[in-house]
Amino acid sequence: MKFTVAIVDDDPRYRSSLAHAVMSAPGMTLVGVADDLESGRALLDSMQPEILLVDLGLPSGSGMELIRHAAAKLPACDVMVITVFGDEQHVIASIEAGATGYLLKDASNGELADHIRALRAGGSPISPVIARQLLTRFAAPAPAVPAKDEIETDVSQALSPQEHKVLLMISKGNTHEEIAQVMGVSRQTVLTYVKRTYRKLQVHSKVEAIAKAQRAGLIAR
Amino acid sequence: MNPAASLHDARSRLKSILGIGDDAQIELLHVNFRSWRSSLAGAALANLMIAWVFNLFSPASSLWLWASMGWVIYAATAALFYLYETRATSRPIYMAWLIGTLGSSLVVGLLWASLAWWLPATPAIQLLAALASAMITMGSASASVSVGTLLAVCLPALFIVPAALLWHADLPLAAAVAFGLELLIWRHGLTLHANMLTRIHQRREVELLSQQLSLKQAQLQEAEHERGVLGERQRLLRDMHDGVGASLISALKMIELGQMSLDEAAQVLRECLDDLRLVIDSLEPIDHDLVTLLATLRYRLGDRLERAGIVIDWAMADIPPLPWLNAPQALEVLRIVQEALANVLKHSRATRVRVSLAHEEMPERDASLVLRIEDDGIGFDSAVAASGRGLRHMRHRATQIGGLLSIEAKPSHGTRVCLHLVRDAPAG
Repeated sequence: MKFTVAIVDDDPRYRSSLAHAVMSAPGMTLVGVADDLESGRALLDSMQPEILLVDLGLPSGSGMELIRHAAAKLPACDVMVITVFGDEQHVIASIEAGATGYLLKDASNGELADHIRALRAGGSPISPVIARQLLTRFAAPAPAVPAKDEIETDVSQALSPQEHKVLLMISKGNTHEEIAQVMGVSRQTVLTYVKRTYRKLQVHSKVEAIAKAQRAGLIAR
Repeated sequence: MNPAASLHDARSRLKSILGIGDDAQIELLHVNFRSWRSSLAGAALANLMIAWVFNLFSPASSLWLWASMGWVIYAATAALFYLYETRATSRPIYMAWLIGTLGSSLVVGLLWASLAWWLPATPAIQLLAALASAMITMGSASASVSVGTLLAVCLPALFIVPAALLWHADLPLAAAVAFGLELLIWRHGLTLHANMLTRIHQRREVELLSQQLSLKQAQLQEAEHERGVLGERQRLLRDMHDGVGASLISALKMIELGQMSLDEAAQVLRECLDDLRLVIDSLEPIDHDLVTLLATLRYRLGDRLERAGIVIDWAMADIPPLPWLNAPQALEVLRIVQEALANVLKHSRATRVRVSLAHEEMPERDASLVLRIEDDGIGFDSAVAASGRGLRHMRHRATQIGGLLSIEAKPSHGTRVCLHLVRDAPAG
């Protein structure tokens, strides 16, 4: 069973090279390409792809909006951000918006296909800096005494010991294989831990945003 | 002075006498308003005590009439304040307080000053009554919220008390003494009032100054930050100019002259991209963490080394954050290690490279770290290669961050690059 891929990028040369890479990779079908926010949204709504590859700098608006759109409307869709450097600022913001992966622009065609397949299989890529940043975010002190009905959401937001260990080892420069060996799990399992922390960061930032708005009196408690 | 200006002047003087001349006076009104319950209750009790005591000496129904008049006034004032407090929230509360205090002060002043007239003309009783009036005047004067209320309380006492002593009790000397006493009380009230206002003014001034001070501090910080940003921009510009910029331009020239193959051009572009990555990684938020900084290099270059058949042995000790490790220093570290790894990749023919970070005790330094990049490759004659450009650059970069670089290599015995770094001292 092949899974479906859509590409939204405004750089025609890179877009066609990426499209070529997806089309020639076994196991995936390209269902459409778009070059700006509007047509990207239409493409998402009509084709409902399982993987969206999106560039952040689109001419008619930030790709971030497209990520939010996909996260809200297509829960089954995995979003990968296309980035030149995979720098912390862009990647973290994309994850908060709902992305679970990113593609480095200079990856070879084979690597691209591998990354897309890995994400589809439930595993996300991560760099040491992003791992470190996630650890810092989640280390933020939890509310002192959570109300009873808040305990559950609070637990789901905290990192599990395994997730914490994976992030810590990645931030120290260990490869996925080394981590898998130390923890006695498969490489793919390590990658799924990463994806789970991404989902938690998305929830975490949403909760934080709501709390911030409540504190500012924008939303009734 | 023109009439309009003098009118304005007179108005502001009147306002100041009434106690609404400036914010400090209004603040004083507000402060006093908060205690209207206790002051009125206190005055009513004083009325009761005085009437009682004088009734012991010389029972007179007129005394109770006098006391009752006081209670009626206090009750009316209390009702007025209560109404203002609960209802008139839209109107400035101090106006009600001002009118109420002025009115009741005047009536109470008249009432208390006239105490002696309600009593028999016996000298002892008259002297006691004058004393009681003086004490009450003193109390009211001490608590006055404005020159206006002070006048309302003191003026009746100043004239009515001596008048009673003079004409009602026929004690001219006592009348003169009482007049002097009331004058002193009046002066005392004025001084107290002025002191209270001065204190409020001073406090406000301190607040204003501290506000200005924190504003100044914020501006200073802003300026400092801007200077930092400017310095950082200059550093990055210089870096682009000498690094990526220079490489791109020389490659472009050679391509235009037809002296560079496609492969060579691609190689230059790859190197430029690598260098840009280093610059960007050096700017990432790593919070002075050398281990994460080095990890970014493995993340970037690990695949490349493995594809070349080189196994990486990664051994990082736990080290505390390095206070000196900011973006410029991070870039130097990254460039040194990248150069070392690139040499392994290009020249060593190694199958294994060990990158290790460890604590190291050095006798002449408090605490230091050593970063080793060791391979099992063909090595080289370090006596010959030490003069090479790449190695010289690495050494120079090491000194830039207060470190020391040493290279040990022997033909066919591998190469070891050691970067010694300080832990606490800032880079020179």
